Amino acid sequence: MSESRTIKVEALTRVEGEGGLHVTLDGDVIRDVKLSIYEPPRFFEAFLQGRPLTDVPDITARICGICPVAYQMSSVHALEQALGIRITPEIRRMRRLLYCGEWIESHALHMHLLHAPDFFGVHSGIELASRFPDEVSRGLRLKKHGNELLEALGGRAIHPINVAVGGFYRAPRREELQRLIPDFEWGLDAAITATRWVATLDFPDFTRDYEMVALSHPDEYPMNEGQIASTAGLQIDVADFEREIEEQHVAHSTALQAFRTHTTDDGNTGDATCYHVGPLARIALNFDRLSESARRTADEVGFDASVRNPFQAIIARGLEVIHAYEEALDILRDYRPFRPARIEYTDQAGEGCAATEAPRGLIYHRYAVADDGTVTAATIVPPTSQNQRQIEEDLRDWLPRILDNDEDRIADDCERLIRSYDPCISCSTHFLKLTIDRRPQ
Amino acid sequence: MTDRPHTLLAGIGSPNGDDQIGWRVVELLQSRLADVPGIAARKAAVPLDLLDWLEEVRTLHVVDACLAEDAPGSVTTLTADATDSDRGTMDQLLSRLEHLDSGGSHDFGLARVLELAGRLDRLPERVVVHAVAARQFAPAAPLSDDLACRMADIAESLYQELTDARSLARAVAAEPG
Repeated sequence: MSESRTIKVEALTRVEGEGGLHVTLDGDVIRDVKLSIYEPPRFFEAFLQGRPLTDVPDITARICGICPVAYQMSSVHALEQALGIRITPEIRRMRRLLYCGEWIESHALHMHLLHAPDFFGVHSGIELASRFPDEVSRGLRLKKHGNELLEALGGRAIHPINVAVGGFYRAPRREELQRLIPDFEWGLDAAITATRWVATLDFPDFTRDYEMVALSHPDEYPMNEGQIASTAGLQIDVADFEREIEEQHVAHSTALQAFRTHTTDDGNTGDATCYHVGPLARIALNFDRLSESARRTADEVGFDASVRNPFQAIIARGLEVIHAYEEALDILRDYRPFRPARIEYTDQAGEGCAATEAPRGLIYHRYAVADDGTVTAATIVPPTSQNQRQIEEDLRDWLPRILDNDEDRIADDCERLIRSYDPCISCSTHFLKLTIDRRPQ
Repeated sequence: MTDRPHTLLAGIGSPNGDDQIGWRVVELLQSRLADVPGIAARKAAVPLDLLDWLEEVRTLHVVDACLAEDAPGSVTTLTADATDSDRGTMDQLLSRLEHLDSGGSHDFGLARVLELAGRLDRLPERVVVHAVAARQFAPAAPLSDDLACRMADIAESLYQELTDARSLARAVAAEPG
C-alpha cells in the first residue's frame, strides 16, 4: 500500500494573481486536478451595466494592468458594432500600433523575467540577472519600448486613456511617434537575438494534442480582427462565439471556465472539451502571416506552426515580439497625424460583440446598449478563463512524469507548466497554492 | 571625469493626489540644480525608469510618497552607504523598502528595482530614499493642502543636502579618473 502524502505550494509565483492547485492521487494514479481560483469575483460585467458607453474603454482597461489594450480594444470594437460605427483605415492602423506596444511590453517581461528563470533553476528574474545581466537588461529595455509606445499613443504606459469608442481622443503629433523609431530599430534586432537565446533553452519533451483556438485573418497577423479558427477545423464569425464556446462555473474556481461545446446545426451540443489560446495557437493558425523577420527567425531556430509543447510558448512570444517591432516600425515610419481622430456617432440601441488577441490569448466581449447610450448588458471572456481547463488537463499528463521527485520539486514543476501559459488570474479573476493528497491505493 | 551626473535626484510620482509629491519636488529643483555640475534631477513614472539613469551615478536620492501614520508631509529618510556602514547597508535599506513594495508580478517596486540594479552592477554607492508621508491618492486629484504647504520646505532641505560641500566632495572624489 502506498503512503498518503500531501504537497502544498502556498502561492504560485511569477504569475499575475492568486490561486491554488489541488491534486488528488491514489498511489500514483491521478484522481483529480483542480486549478482553484479563489480570488473574489470582480464583477466588472455587472457594474458596467447602467453606465454610459463612453465609460466602458476606461473601465475595462482597469481589468488588467498588463493587457489593458486588449480589454479596451475588444470593448470599443464591440460597442462600435452595436452603434454601426465604421472606423477609418488610419484609426484601425493606429489601433494595431497600440497592440504592438502591449505585446512587446507583456511578452518581453514574461520571456526574460518570469519564464526564463524556470530554465536555469533560479527563483526570480532578479536572481537570473546575476547570471545573465545582458539578457535581463535587454528584456527590460524591450519592455520599456512597449510602455513608451503605449504612453505616446495611449496617453500613459499603463491603463491608456486615449482610446475612445470611434477612435482616439487625440492623434499624436508626428514627432511624438517618430522619435521612437531609433529605439524600435534597435529593438527589432534585440528581439531577434532574444528569440535565438530562448530557443536554446532546455525544453521538457512534452508535446500535446491541443485544439488551438485563435483569431485568423487572411491578410494580417491577427490582433484586433478576424474569424475565430481552430486547428480542429473551426472557422466561425465572432458573432457565433457563444454558440461554440460556453462558460461554466466549477465549484473550485471563482473564475468561469470556458469549453468548446461542439454545437451542431440543429442546436445539439456534444461533449464539452477544453482548448488552448495564446501565442502558440496564434502561430499555429497564422504562421504565414508573421512578419518576414519573425518567419526567418522561426525557420532559423526550427520553430513552425506544428509546435504543441507549452514550454516552447516562450519562443512563440519571442517571434511575436519580432513581429510587433517590425509592424510597429512600418507604422511609425509612415505616420502622419490623422483626421478625424474619432468618428462621431449618435447613441442608439444595439448589440455588438468583438474578439481580439490579448498577449495571452483570445478575448471576447459582447455589449448591449440602450438608445440613450447606456450599457444594459456586458459579457467578457478573458484568455485565462479559456485556458484554465486546458492547464488542468496538461497537469494530468505532466504529473506522472514528475511524481518520482520530492514534493517541492513536484510543486516547482507544476508551477513551471502553469507559468508557460503566462496566466493572468487578475483578469480571469485572479491565482496559486498547490496541495497534493496522496491516498493509499 | 565625464559629463555624466555623479548624483541623481529622482522623483517618483503619478498625477494622482499626493503621489505627485516626487514630481513636484523635482520640478521645484530642476532649474536650481541645472547650474550645479554633476547633479541631475529627473521625474520617474515608475521605479523601473531609474535603471536607465544610473550609469556612473554614485549617489542616488529618491523622493516618493508613502502611506504612513506620520503627519502628512513629514519625511522619513532611509540611507544606505557602501562606504559608510554607520549610515546603514543596502540590505537593511532593501529590507525596509520591501515592506512598502506592492503590485503584481509585472510591476517592479523600488526595492526590487534597487535589488535588480545591484545584480546588474548599476547600484550607486549611496542611496537615500526620502519617503514623504501622504494620505490621499485619488485619480487626478490635486496635491493635498498639507503636502502643498510642505513642498517648498522639502525641496529646500533636499537642495541643501544635494549641494552640501561634503556631499559633492565625496561624490567627486569617488569618480574614477
